Amino acid sequence: MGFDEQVKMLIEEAEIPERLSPENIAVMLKEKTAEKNRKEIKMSSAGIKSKNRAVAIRSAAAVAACIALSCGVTAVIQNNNRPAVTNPEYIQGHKVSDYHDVYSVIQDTIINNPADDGIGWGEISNDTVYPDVTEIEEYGSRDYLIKTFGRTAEDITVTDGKNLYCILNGALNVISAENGSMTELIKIENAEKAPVGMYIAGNRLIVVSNNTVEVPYTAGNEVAATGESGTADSSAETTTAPSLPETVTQNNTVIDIYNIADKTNVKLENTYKQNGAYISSSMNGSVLYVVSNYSNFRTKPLDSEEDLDSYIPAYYTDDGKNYVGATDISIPAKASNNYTIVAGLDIEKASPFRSIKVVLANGKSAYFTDNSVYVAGNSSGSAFIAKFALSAGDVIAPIVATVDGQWSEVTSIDEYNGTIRISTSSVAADGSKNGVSISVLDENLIPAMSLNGLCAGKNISAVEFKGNKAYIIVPGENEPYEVTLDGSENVPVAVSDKSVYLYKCTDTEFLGISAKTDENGKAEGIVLTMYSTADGINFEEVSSIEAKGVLSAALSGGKLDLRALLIDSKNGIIGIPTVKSDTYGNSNLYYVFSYKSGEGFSALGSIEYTDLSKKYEFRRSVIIDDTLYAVSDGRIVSARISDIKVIETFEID
Amino acid sequence: MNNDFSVCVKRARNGDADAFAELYSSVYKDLYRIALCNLRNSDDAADAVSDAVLDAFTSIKKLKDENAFKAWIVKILMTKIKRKQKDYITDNTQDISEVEQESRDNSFDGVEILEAISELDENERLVLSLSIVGGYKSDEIAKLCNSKAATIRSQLSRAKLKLRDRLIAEQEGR
Repeated sequence: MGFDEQVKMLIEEAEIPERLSPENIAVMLKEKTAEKNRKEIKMSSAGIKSKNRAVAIRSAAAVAACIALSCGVTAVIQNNNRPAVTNPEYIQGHKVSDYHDVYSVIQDTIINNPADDGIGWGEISNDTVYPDVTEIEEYGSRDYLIKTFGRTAEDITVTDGKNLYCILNGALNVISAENGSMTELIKIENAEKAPVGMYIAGNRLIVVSNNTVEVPYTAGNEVAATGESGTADSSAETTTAPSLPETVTQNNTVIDIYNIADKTNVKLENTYKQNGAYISSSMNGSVLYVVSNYSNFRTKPLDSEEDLDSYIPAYYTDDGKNYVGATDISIPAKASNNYTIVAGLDIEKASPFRSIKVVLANGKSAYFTDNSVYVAGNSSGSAFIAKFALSAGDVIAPIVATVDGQWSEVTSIDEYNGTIRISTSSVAADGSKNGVSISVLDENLIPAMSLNGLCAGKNISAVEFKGNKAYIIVPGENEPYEVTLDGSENVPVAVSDKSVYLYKCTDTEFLGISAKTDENGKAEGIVLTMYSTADGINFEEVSSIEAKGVLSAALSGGKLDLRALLIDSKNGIIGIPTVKSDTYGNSNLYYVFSYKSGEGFSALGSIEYTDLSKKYEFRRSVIIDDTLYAVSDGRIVSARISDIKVIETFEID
Repeated sequence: MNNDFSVCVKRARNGDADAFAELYSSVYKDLYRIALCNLRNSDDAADAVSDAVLDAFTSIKKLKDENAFKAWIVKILMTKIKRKQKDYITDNTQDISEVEQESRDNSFDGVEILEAISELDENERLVLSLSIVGGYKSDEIAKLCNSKAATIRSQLSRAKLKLRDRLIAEQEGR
């Protein structure tokens, strides 16, 4: 029996509900018909008045349709005659003078107005800032490598040139790697922390982790004391309010700074912690900037201004717990019940903490540039963007602007020629997400142009900005839609002359990755194409090569991660994890290609293992000297980069 | 059968519920299974089918080709499914664990396959269910979805690959 027949047979095991039987459907239809007839009789007895009302309703609908149509036309006209500022609301995030301002906002705007963000008093959400599993799956997996990640660079596999530092199965593994031979030096596990990425700076390893704590919810005036770790004092008497959760899930972002001068004796030098689930980070020299989102800070009724724990975010240094200063907090006009927190650290200092700034807004994604971090999210039903200027560890109070649409998985941010571009999901009249909105703002976040409803009706997975254009990616369609952002064009046009998977290797070279399909459309391989471009707009194909297999989950799963691609410009090496499935199971492959300007691609070889477990899918690779290390959760494989001959396979416990 | 369809459609256009039920009897199992593959639980699937049936019954006068009844009602069902899926996005009150529990509460043995299908994205679920349950070919699905046949083939191929991966992983996890 073939696969299709097997699946069909299993689906057919589902029992059909009795109410859907043809007999019951016939009864339902007859009842509906009878009900309709009764209504029609009533309507006719109401006479001419009702008819007029029906006409009036139809007229109103026609007028509404005309308005909708004319709005669409207006949008086009506006876009052609920039600037089309559709959302004039622009607000400087105002700094507060004391905690009373914050207390008042949270009391008045949030607690007394529970509609904010859909989360009101009595409905403390356990959600973190990340889209939950359901939401990710609603958007579906994305096979597209186009996504603006900015300068965020923490990774689960890093190297100091002699050793591998890998986060595997939630543990930090330090593995010596000499000429392909691997030895575990140390393994650090901490049940309270989930490491998400690392940086290496000189003799220091910086590990970024999420720390989740369950804090009992306390009602009344008898409140539980909150300890340094963020967990509640269990000795305190707590009472659970009706309809409220027994506990509140709170997240912290933890930065552990290890001294790795002696690899066999890795020492924890410093730990810094700030409230909020980790969003992003960026490291430049010895300076690290960290962004988190703090929600669910209220673990008891907010009935006292003195009770800072209930509404002021905190950070933890060697000195212990510190509340963010009042003057470091900004409140936008549309405040949220989440805090976006940005801190600067200098990891070479004995006390790394430098500065912190906070805005009462629900930040969900961040984009770093050399001098700024832009955070986007939703506040009070609107998408917003906040710009924090950065300088040598100092974080400057943000400016905040609302933009059209809603933050979503399609949100990308990009800085270009002194402007900021942000994509969001357009919102239709019925409140549903439909199409893409793109806003262009100047360096002070003053809107210059806004396009709405682009690619409406399509299932959009991502938006990528390149040069003065935006590319809208629609899964299943072979070409992205191109939108020019200088106001000369406003209708998305499908691009047909280049791969949809574009990765910037150098200023003039872009790597394109596309699927190779057979005559039935079945994906059977990948095609790498190198494009040359002088202006980032016009692309010329210079070389291409094909390989069997499809992109592995690290590149094509529900959560896209470009860092799974190895682009080693120094050695001209491109590594790409793929998966082949057949009746015998999955083959996990790691392909390695070389690319030389003027010579094009050549296949260096591949590493291939047949496994049944996903934990052996390759997730990263690094090159140390002339050896490639391909890393999965289950094993690390070393191979010579000259011919990809396997040197050693190192199994992970 | 084509003649039967034609006669029944003509009767249904005149408001004959029994005639419509006769038409419906030839497609309802597929309708329910397509809905089940695309929605979170059997109640939502049954609701989508009921809603589609009501819409189809009240608008059957618009059906031009009497022999295209099945494709026509499947298309109506697709709009109901998409609307419900939009509701899922805006209403996340139902916890995923609750959904899984509901699935497990079903007595049928095909629960694993439905759970595996639920992990596909919306388009893949739809294309897969129309192909395997509805028996539609790629070009027919393309017409139903206002898409290109090549795109549908690509989505279908990807969906099957993912489904097989997930089933293998599930077998391994037992």
